[in-house]
Amino acid sequence: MTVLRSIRSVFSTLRAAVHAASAVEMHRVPATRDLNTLGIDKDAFRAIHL
Amino acid sequence: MGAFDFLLQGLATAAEPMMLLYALIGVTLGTAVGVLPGIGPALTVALLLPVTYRLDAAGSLIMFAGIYYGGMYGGSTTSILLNTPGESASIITALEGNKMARKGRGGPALATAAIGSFIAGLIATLLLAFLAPSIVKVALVFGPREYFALMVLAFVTVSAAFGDSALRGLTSLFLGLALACVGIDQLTGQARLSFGVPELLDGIEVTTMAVAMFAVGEALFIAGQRNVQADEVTAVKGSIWMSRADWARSWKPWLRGTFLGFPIGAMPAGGAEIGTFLSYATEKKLTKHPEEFGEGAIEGVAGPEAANNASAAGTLVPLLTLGLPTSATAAIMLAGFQQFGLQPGPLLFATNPTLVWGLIASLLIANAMLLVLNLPMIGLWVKLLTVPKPWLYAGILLFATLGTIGANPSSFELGMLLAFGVLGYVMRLFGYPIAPIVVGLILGPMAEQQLRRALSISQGDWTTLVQSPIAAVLLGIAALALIVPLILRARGKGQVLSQLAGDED
Repeated sequence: MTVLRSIRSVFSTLRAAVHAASAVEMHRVPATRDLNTLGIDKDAFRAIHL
Repeated sequence: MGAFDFLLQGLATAAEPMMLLYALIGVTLGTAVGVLPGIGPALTVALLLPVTYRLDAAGSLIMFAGIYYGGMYGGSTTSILLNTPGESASIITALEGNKMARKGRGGPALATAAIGSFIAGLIATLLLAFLAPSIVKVALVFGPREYFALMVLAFVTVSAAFGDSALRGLTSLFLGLALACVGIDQLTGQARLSFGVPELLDGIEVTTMAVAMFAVGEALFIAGQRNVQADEVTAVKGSIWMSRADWARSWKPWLRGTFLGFPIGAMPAGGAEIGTFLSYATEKKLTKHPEEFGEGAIEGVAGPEAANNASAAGTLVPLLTLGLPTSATAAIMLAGFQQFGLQPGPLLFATNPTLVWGLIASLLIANAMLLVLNLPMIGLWVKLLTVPKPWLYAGILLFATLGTIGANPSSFELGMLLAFGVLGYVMRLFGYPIAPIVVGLILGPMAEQQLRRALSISQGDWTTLVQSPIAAVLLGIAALALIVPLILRARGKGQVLSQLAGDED
């Protein structure tokens, strides 16, 4: 179960990174859910001048 | 001869005075565009494509690669000092880097970014040099159907697998593929989609399209954003050098960032940004100082900066060995190769080893130049930010227009530049990705040629496309890359909808 959970965690992090990257490429703030998965504070990210 | 001997030969080529000059121009320009928010390496290489039309091929390509590497270096400076990333791969650096600068630790933040970029660039370039010959060996056995399958995989990953919307990505791709059909058919000599316009018989010029989409479209978009945030530079206080503790906390993130960024860069449509997000998440999970994350943790600067530079070298692996662009800048660099009559891929290693290995070796030299250029000259780079933005945007538009007219002196070409520039702006405005349209235009004719060759060999039997194990596996991966994200997105939407429903309750 731990292995499965780790694999799932890796995939969800990868998916969040892919979504966040595609959002910033379009000069948009990524979804809160993706930022949370990546351990990024939403308010700190919004403070960046994209 | 092994990779090491070829690399030494390449170093001899790259150390020629003219090549060194091209590399220096490339890294200086690259750092400048990396520093300037809104202007990235893709835009700069696109702008320079028509200008370098009559220059030396090896020198121009070395300059383009220098711009790519320089852009990754320069982006961190404004992220750290202004909280304004110079380019999208440096956004994550701003999270911790700017906090460090505000706490008076801007020097170590800039130093860990520059040294991390140098180390990542060095390791990743060596990985590129030693991996490329093996991939070339595999690619040499590829026939038309394998190449076609590889291009289908690239089309799917560039347009549908990554990004917010598969529909928008595929729309952009098919627009590019349709534009690739314009002109005289190479096989039958039949005019296609030219609507009786003689200028269209030669097809759409990739250079014009790249300049329009990445320079004109991007300049219009950033100018139209009306970003009125004041650029407040945080002064670098105290020593610029890193303490022993900073070194101890940086070296592991540098290595982890390198080994995350390199394969991500080599993945079709991976993009440098994904590696930086993953590196940040990894460092936050592994750090011994979790309380510092969000307050200025040096690991949060070291890892992502290493990842974005390693990713730039990773991008060059599929570009040089298979002729596949995996990012926007790589797509434009491919157009750069083509404007000199060169086709990147396994054959280029055999037919033009001096150029390929000179290019790879020049990356090592460019990397060292960047370290020297960046750290001691930070004051100079920051001064670039005083250039008024309207001048910058007007300069880009002027340079794009002059470059295009210089390369193809015709009013029709100028009209196409403006029309595609406006199309690029509209696509950005409505969230359509730009890379698929350019990749479609560049790879479309090649995919068509390989498909027709495969079908000619099999006398029209379509099942030939899946009869080769390599082609079948590549097409299978392409199908998965199309279907799996669609299912995941549908599941994600379901979760969001149920969450919304729950909120309303």
